[in-house]
Amino acid sequence: MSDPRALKTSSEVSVRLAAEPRGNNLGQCQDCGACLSRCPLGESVPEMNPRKFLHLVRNGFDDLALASRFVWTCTLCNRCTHDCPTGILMEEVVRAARGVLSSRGELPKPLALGITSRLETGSVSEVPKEEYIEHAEWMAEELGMELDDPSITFPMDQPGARYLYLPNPRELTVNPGIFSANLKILHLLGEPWTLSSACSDVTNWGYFTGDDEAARKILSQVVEAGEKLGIETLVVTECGHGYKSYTYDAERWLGRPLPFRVEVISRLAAQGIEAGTLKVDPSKNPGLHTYHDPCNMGRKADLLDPPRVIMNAAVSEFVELSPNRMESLCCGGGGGVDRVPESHDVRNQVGGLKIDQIKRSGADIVVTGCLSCQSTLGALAQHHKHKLKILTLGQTVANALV
Amino acid sequence: MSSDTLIIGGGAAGLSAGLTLAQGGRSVVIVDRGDAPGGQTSKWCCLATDRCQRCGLCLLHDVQAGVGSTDSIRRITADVTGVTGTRGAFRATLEATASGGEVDATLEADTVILATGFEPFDPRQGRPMGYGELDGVVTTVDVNLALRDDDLSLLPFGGGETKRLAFLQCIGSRDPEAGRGYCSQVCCQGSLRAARALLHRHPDWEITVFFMDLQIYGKTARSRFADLAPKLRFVQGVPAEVQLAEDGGLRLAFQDHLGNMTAESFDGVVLAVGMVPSPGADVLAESVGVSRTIGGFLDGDSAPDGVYVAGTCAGPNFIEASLLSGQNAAGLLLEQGANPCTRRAAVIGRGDEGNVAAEALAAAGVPVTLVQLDRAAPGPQGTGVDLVLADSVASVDGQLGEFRLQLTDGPAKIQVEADALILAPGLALTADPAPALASLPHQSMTDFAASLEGDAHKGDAHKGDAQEGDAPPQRVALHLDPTGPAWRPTAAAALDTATRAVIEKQSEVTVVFEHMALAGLHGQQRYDDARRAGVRFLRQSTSPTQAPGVEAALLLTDAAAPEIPLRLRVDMVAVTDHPGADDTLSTLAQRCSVGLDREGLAQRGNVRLFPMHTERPGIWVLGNARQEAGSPTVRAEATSVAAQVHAQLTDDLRFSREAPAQIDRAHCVHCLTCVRVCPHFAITPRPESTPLVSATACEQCGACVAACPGSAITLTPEAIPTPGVDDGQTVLFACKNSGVPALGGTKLPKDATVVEMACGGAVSELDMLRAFQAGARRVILLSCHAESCAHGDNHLHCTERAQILADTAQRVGLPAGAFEHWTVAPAEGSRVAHDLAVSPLKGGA
Repeated sequence: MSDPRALKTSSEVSVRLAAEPRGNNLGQCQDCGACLSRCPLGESVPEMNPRKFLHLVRNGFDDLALASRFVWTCTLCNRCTHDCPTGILMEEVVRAARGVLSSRGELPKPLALGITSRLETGSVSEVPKEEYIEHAEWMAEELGMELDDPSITFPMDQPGARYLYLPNPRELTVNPGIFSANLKILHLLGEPWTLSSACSDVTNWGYFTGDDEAARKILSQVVEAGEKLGIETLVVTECGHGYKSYTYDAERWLGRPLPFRVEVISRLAAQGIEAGTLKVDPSKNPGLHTYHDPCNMGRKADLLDPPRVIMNAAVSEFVELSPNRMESLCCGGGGGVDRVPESHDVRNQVGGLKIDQIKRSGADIVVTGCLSCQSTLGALAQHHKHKLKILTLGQTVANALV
Repeated sequence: MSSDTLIIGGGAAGLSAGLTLAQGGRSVVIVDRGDAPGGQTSKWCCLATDRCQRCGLCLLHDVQAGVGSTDSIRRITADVTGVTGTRGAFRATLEATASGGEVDATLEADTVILATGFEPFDPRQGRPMGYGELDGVVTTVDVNLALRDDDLSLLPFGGGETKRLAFLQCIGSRDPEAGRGYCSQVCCQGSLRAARALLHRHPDWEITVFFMDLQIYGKTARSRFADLAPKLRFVQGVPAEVQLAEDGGLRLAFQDHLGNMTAESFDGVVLAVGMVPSPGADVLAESVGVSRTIGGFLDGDSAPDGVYVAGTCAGPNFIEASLLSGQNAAGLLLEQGANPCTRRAAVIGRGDEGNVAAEALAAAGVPVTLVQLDRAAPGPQGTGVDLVLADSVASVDGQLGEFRLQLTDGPAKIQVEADALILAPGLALTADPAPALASLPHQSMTDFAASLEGDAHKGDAHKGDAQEGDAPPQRVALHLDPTGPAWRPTAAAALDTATRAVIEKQSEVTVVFEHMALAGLHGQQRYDDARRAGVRFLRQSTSPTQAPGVEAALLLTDAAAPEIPLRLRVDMVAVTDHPGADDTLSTLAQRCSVGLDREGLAQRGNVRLFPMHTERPGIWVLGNARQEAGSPTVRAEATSVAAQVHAQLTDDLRFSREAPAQIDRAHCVHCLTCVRVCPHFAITPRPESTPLVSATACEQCGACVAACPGSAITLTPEAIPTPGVDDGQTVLFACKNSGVPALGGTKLPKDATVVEMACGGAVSELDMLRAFQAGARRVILLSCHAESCAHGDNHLHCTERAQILADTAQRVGLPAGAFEHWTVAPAEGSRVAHDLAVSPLKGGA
């Protein structure tokens, strides 16, 4: 055993935690043990668990908390504490810890670089503005050919449009199909919409790093663009942390209410299906499908029923994973962990639970509502040598549109 | 249709309130929506193994039997949808239930008791515990049902080979965020009882209990579970989900005792589901003006005049507490217009509890003498109490209706006469620090609380104790239960004191504890308030020691991270008060011939002495002298006991009758066996004569009849009727308190004859031999389990005698098994039926 540690009443992490929405409520813990039993990291990081992490922070042992592998393997999935009897929320505690590391300049390199790129270029992937405009034009042409309507164009910087669509950089680099699917949905919904040349990146890695100042600056770029165009609703792509932070954190970071509503493309698609605006044919998505609830979308942002509307309407066979919805298992890539190379071994191990769950369902096509989950699930399937096709909800709808 | 009192709910509280009212001469109607009497407890099972586990179910059976034999109680099956009106003119609206047939639309009553009870939490709500989805996940209710039916195959893991079971505590309880911010009180002990019952049947099963804070409190609870604990594994922290394991079992993840995460596969998971209020109770309560409190339970304090709230609708509790709560409500109600009582009760008190008892008796209309042994105690409030101050009780003689107390007060001797005697001396508590912390500045929790008042420092000056009554120390470690058992009232006071010290004196208070006691509906809230106020809690995983060096500090580890040694700087250690040696109490009990339980508290552990009876008719004991009780409980006990004393002292039949047991002078050889065996101290020796049987104190158990070597004693009614026996029959000698009700719900073999006995201890060698002589092929004696005999130690006589009977049977050449002795409880009909079916006479036909 090490030397006894003096108990403290305050610490750097707990001071940061006090600024989170629920404040420093760690003294409320009654040791019920619920959180630790639901943390998927149990086997990978047995020496640490949510309750122990709270204990360290509560008693002022920042050094132990911050040095723990837990800090950068926790995916902020909140599975542990979403129904904590005393209202503690793990995401806030881990963000507070990461915020301290952030202020000390001790972030994992890829996250630090991404934030710098985002602040300097408006895109974590440094996609230039011109490339974005060209990419959108190319997508419009493709859709024009598909629908046999050469007049189709995608509006750029259109003032007074109802919707402003905000993609994830993946749509402009490795996954153009998702961009195309979502724009097709927007086009067919028939409401006036636009893209903005000033913002092409829904992500906000300040959320991952606990750096609220960076988060505010990143957010402001989008807010200014939306305000300038006078939009009614910011429609974000299926980006879990993006949608969650626009919905639950943005106002706090900004210091004022957002000047527009925020909606996610998948909910609009579900509403379009229900209203009959979007007509879908489930036979266009043959095979047994299942749905993976992204933590940010489902557990944290209540997007639970619309995905079921889509799955029931747009695929030929649908089976639920178990557990699902509020109890869904994280893919292992949330919380920015997919950008932390040191955590990849843990991520693959944790994701094994997800793969097992998918195997038990019998489905060979997994639909999910988050691009990050999609990419993580793809990597997991490869690592665990399990053949899977993985689609977003947008892709699933777009495939089935008639 | 009108009656004095309408009781809504026919569970433990409603039935016991009804019976108490009927005994007080009131007319009662009990309306219940279910067909099965006993409410939720009809699904329960006696959890005795070869000995009583004090679940209280037999007490409920006794109350049911009492209600069934009372004409002044009417029972209706219906739903009560609302109650309007005021005292003297309440009107209830009734609706027929699906199975209840037609009912009157309204009922009128002068007073109303709400006893709507609880239902078990549905584990399909809330967390993913797998109930109804994963094979092998059951609730404590399911386990109870399987035990009741004596058929473990009703459980998915009930097969024979070694099983690994997990009990998960607090399912549905202790969850403030979900609106259930209360401890359900009963589940920890219920689980341990069930675990023992399962291990009794399958000693090779491995059972792990996952808990938050074990709540092991109440009469004899600590000692009762002491021998079970080593057979179980305990893990602090309750898994909040059950998953399918790779091996097909049930996977639970938890933190091991070293602080590492681990996961294990279990064959079965038992969810210890908590209590929630009965559906519809909210609407009913609102209609009559009773508001709701934590968890939706009813707030008795808000009840308007003429309305009383009893039992688990006011908060989760045990059968015993529900029965007491019903008696308390009835007692309060009976205070209004009580029949005159000319007989007198004496209360022996030593402080507040004596006052409370005396006041309650006076309120019930019983003339009362309070013998107060604590001169510093303030006098009783109100009128009708004669106060006698004394130093000690020198002797107590006599019987119900004629007790004589010799008191000493300095040089003076005082004699007090009374018809009944109530012992309410409270309990002396001590507060000693853990030996390893003894050289740190320390004081008792009581003194620490007093220092917050700004009072002068009370109590002995301890070594290094610097406080002299002014400012309380700034850094305080409040050490719960360091050297004695957790005593719930002091645990509650400790939380309140810690909270006050933080809020009012800005002290830094750290509570060092192992299990947090959560007494009653508000226990969890009290704990929540303390944490919210900023009291720090450390759940010790090893006992704290004193840190080396000049600075006063504790060394300890916390269960959340047991691998990290902690150092807690303190100015003072406050120690909770707990029961210590109480010579005054033990002497008083001895003078009264009242037994102590295994833990040294007055009143034996025998459940049938519930609530506050002693083996000696006419003597009651209440308060902390009997079991831990906060002041509201002491008041409820006092009201309840007052109603019982009033009923006893106004039972003119008992005071005018002949002694039920008569000793024939011609056959009595003055051997005094009857004096020795009478469990109620009702027989006293007389010089040069047959012993004297007290007419008031005789409880008609027949122990003396069976034991008398000269067959000199006869009892009215007969202790054992002579059975009419055909050749080849099985004769079941059955105690009326256990065997008879158990056999009552049972399909008996065709050849069985049941002989009802006053008590299992009433059967003699001769009775058995006569049964064989009359042609019986076998004889089975069915008596109560140890510690649940209504006649004190009679079960011991019974067991001793049964051994003699078995030996005798063998000696006279009867086949093995021709005579057997089984212990049984009223709710164990299935087990008896099963045993009768599978245990044919060995070596016989």
